[in-house]
Order: sequence, then structure tokens, then C-alpha cells
Amino acid sequence: MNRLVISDLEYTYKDQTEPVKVLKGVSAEFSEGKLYAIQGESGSGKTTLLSLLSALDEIQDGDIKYNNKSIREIGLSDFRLKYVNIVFQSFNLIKYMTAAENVQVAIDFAGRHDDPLRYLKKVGLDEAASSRLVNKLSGGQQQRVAIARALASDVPIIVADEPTGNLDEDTEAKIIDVFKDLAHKDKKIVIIVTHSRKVAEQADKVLKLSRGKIS
Amino acid sequence: MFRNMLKRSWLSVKRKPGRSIIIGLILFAMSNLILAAIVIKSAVNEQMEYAKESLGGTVTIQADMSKLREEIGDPSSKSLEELESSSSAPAKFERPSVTKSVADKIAQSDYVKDYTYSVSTTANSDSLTAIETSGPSGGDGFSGGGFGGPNSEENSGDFKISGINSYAFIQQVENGSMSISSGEYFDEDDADKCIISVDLAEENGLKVGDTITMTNINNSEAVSLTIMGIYDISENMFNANTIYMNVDTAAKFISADDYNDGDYKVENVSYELKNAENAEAFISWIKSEFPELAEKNLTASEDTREYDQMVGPIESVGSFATTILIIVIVAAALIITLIVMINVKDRRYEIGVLTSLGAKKLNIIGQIFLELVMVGTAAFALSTATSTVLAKTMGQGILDSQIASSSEASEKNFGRPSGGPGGSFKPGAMGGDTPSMPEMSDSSNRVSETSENVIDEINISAKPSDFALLFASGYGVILVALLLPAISILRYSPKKILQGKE
Repeated sequence: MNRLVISDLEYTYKDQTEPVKVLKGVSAEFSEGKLYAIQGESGSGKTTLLSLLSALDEIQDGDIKYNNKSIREIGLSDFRLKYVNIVFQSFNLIKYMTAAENVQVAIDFAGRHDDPLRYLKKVGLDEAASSRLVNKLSGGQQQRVAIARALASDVPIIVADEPTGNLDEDTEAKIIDVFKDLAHKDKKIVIIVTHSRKVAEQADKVLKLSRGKIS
Repeated sequence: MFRNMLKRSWLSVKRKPGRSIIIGLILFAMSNLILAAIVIKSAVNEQMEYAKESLGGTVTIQADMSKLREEIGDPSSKSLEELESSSSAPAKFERPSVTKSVADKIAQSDYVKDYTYSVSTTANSDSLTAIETSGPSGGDGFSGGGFGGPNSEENSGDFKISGINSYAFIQQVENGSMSISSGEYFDEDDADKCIISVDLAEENGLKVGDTITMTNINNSEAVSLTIMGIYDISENMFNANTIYMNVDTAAKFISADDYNDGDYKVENVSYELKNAENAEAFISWIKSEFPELAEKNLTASEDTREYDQMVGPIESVGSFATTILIIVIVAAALIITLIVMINVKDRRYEIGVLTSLGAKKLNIIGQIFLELVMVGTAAFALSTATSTVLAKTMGQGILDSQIASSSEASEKNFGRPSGGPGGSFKPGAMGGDTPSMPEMSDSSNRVSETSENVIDEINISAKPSDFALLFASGYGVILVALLLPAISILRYSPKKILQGKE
């Protein structure tokens, strides 16, 4: 069973007027086949934790281990490429590409030969939408493309930062279902940072982050 | 990996046509300038090579002054003429000279393209009245040592006899002060023919086709000369009693001793080489093959003034082109760096996304580099057509300035690029080909025209090697321009790159 373990994670923003310590020894464990929700008030360190979990930022103190191997040892770039994919609140899609081409980028990086449409259909996007430039798609559609890209990368860990923050209720429900399927059917570790009570209710485990600590 | 990079690069170029066109236009402008500078530099190199081949070098046989001074015990810097008349010189001081046979033998060297020498003496005439002159008796342009030269006798005649291989070799002809007012000019095949001055002709009522009888002052033998031309000269101090003819005819006026059964002494011996680079080798060859020259206090030395005059400006143009090339490449690098920097900064978000997906730095730099290479290749390819036109225009401009500066330098040197007492000579004159003189009445153009002919034969056109250099330097500039901003962004974590965007 794949496991992601964080231990004594600390993080301080040093480029502020005064250093701000946002994570103060966070420890947690995540297992495959489960959907995790991380909640907390603004400034509690949710996004910072997510950045560290998805290897977008350097670990300052503590460690993150995937299957007992430190991600430092794996290498952050390799960890991002082979083990983790992040779905951003702002989608972070490449705007001059179509939906299918955005997904194809993840397939290419994974070094596989696959049809991007397969993943786009999985998140409810049809062929017409797939062939449109992403900036011509609605927010909900763009979020689906971002999720499809994460699926296409075929990594064992999916992290998402407020993935339903910009979506209407109907779309939010559909997106939650996609994440649940990723965890329960595809046996991935799915970690979602969210303010949404609905998302939290659907999660297998909810972690509360308060003043830089998991409570 | 490369195929995927290429795919993403092509998408970026295709989907962002505005950006691609702007970058393409900038690269196009830069590549035009770079290629033009490369082509000009290449043309300059050709010019220099051509100048070496066509002008060759000039080697003269002349008195070894330092050895002469040492020998006669006069350490001063007196000239040969001053030494001759100097009271400190020994009574038997004799001007060093080369015999015709030695001069001809040296000319047989494979290094030699052409050669010339002259004979000068004096003569009298019972039927001609000499013009009274108040100035110096010299001034014929190749006498080397005043009236009479080495073959002159103490008792000089009234008329100066100047033998030279061809009319074209006369210094005044080269500097434009002398021209034929009627009749024709002579060359080495015109035996017993001569040209006389307008003043002398008027004084004696002579015209072209008339025969004059001159007397050898040594043995009083009469020599009949047919006037084939009458020259006009604009130099005030010129001796109008100077009669020009070819060397063999002039030799009839020297003493029997000096004539030496046809192996008489000649002056102003000059050899034009096939290649200027062989001058040193030719001089060494003369020293080893003709050791008697050194014994007679003669030395062979290189006269590269004509070559230097021609090559000097070309070298300046070459360094100018190099400077332009460096400036353009540096400017291109700066401008392209700026453009690429703006482009890369503008794509910080995309770079952040790609790195968050696990893309390696090399992968991202490679993608952007390929994009620029695609646009650059199109721009460079277009510039190979347009820059040739630009280079031709620029090259022609430089060529014109080259011609102008060469002519100006020649004029300042009184039309004698090679200088020396005997004046310069033109290729082909001694080899049987009479030098062409398009404008008899304006022979001063000859130097310029010769220079222009040399330069006109240079092909100013872009060669495949020039294109290769453009593409190599262009891609090099693009790579350097890309690395700076790309590295400055990629050193950050994906989070910071994405935050920067936001």
C-alpha cells in the first residue's frame, strides 16, 4: 500500500518584514484509496502544506516520505514527475493549447502513449470541448481539464488546492465525485485543501490545520 | 523528449503568431546586418588575396648605402648623389650599377612577373637647337642621379637621352603631367624612334615623322631617330631637351666601354613579383645566385609601397567590417536577450505550470530554444536573400571609398605608387604586352583605373560558408540570449515562479 508520511514539517516565510512561521511541526499520514480534506482558516498554512506535499517548494525542516523514502532523496522534480500531480484553484492550464493538448503534455511528461480524450471524457468533457482552446472553456470545464491532466499523468498522489472554489454547486458535486473515484476506484492518495463543507463531508478523513499545526 | 519539445514549440509558435512575427522581424533585421558584415569581411579577405595576387610585390636592385658609406668612410646620411660629389669620397668612387645581362638573368626567376630598367645619358646634335634651361637638368623622372646618371660623361651633351622600356613607365606619364600631344608613344620594340617635347619641336620646326640626327658625345657617331610622338609636359622645372626612347636605342648614345658589347649598365632595376608574399624568398634567391651584387655594394630590397597602398585601406575596411560584425552581434545579443527576456518573463506562468508537472529545466529551455530556432531559421533563411542585396550595396560603398582613397593616395604620391627613381611599371609592359592606356590625354586616370580594375574583379556575394556562419552565430546569440532569463527564472521553485505570475 502506498503511503505518504509527513513528519515535523516546519516552514517559515523569511522574505517578510518579520519571519513568519506558518507550519510548526506538522505530522500526518496519507494512504492510497482515501480522500483527505485539509481545512483551516486563512493563513493557517494549508496552501504552504500543499506546496510542500506536491514538491512545489523546498522543505525547510522535517520530512516528507513516500513509501518510506524521503522526497528529497527522490528529488523534487522527479517526485513531481512520477508521484504527484496538483490541481490548482486557478487551474494553471497552458492557455495557447486546447484541452486535449494540455492533457497531452502530462501524458508526454509521463512518457506514455495515450489518448487525452480518454481522460477528458472521464471528467465529463466531450470531444468538441476537448478541441477548444482552454481559455474558451468555462471555469468548471477548465477545472475538469486540470483534473484530467492530473489523471493522465497517472501518478499515485493527487493534491488539489480549492478545486471547487470557483465552481457552481452542480459542478462542485460532479468534481467531488471525480476526486472520490480517483481515490476509491483508482486507488490514489487524494488530498484536497478546501474551505467547502460539502467537500469535507465527502472526504474519508478531514485534517484541521490551525496556527501551523494539525489538530 | 525531443519530439514532445518540438511539438510544444510548434504549438507555441503557431498559436502566438503576433509574438512569433515580432521576434521573427527582429531576428530578420539582425541577421541582415550580421550577414552583410560577414559578407563584407569575406569580400575584404578576397580583396586582400586578390591584391596580393594581382599587384604582387616589387623588388628593386639599388645601392647598399650603409655599405657604401662604410666603405668610403663617410658615416653621414648623404645620398648617393651627394656621395658622388662629396669631397670626402675617394677619387675612384663609382656608383654601383647592374649590367643588363644580370638584370635579365634575375628576371628569369619564377618569382618574377615583370621587370623594368632604364638607361640615361646625353647627346649632341648639329641639326637641333637645344632649349635654354635655367633649372636643374634632371627631372625626367627616372634619371636616379641627376643629369646623365651612371653612363654620363663629364662632358655632357646638350640633350638628355632617356631610355626606358616603355612610354608608360615614365614618371610624368604616371602622375599625369606628361601626355602625347601628337603622334604615338613608343614601347620596347620601337627601335630608333623617339618622342620629343613640344618646346623642342617648336624651336626646331619638327613634327611627327621627321628624322633627327643625334650624336654620341663619346665617339661622335651619328644616330638617326624618327620622331613618333611629341609630348607636352606641365612641370615647370622639366628639361625640355629630354628625348625619350626605348632602352636599346638609348644605349647607342653611351660610350663603347660602357656599352660593353651590349651588356651595358642599367639603372632603376625593378622586378614585379607574381605574389608579394614571395618577396623575401626572391631576395634570398638573388643573394644566393648573384653574390657579385653584394660585392658591388648593391642590394635587393622589397618595395611594397604599391601593395601597402592597396592593402592598407582594404585592411582598414576589414577591421571596420570586423568591428561592425562584433558590434552587430553584441547589439543583436542584447536586443534579442531583451526580447527573449520579455518573452520568457511573459511565459513565467507557463514555465511554472510545466515545472509543477515535473518538467526538467533543460526540457523547458529546450522548448523555448526550439521556438526561437524555428522563428530564427525562417528569419535567417529570408535574410540570405535580402542581406545579399544589402551586402552588395554596402560592399559597393566600401569599394568606392577604397577606390577613392587609393586614388587620393596615388595623387598625393604624384601617381607613383611604387616610387623610386625609376618610377613604377605596369604588369605586362616588359612581357610583350603594351600597357593599355584608354585615355592618352588623361593618363593620370591610369592608376585609379588600375586600382578599380583590381577591385572590380572581386566578387561580393554571400557564399554558403557565410550563410553557415550566420546560422551558427544566430543560433549562438539566441541560445545565449535565452539562457540568461531562463536560468534567472528556473532557479526558483515552481511555487515561486507561479506566485510571481500571480
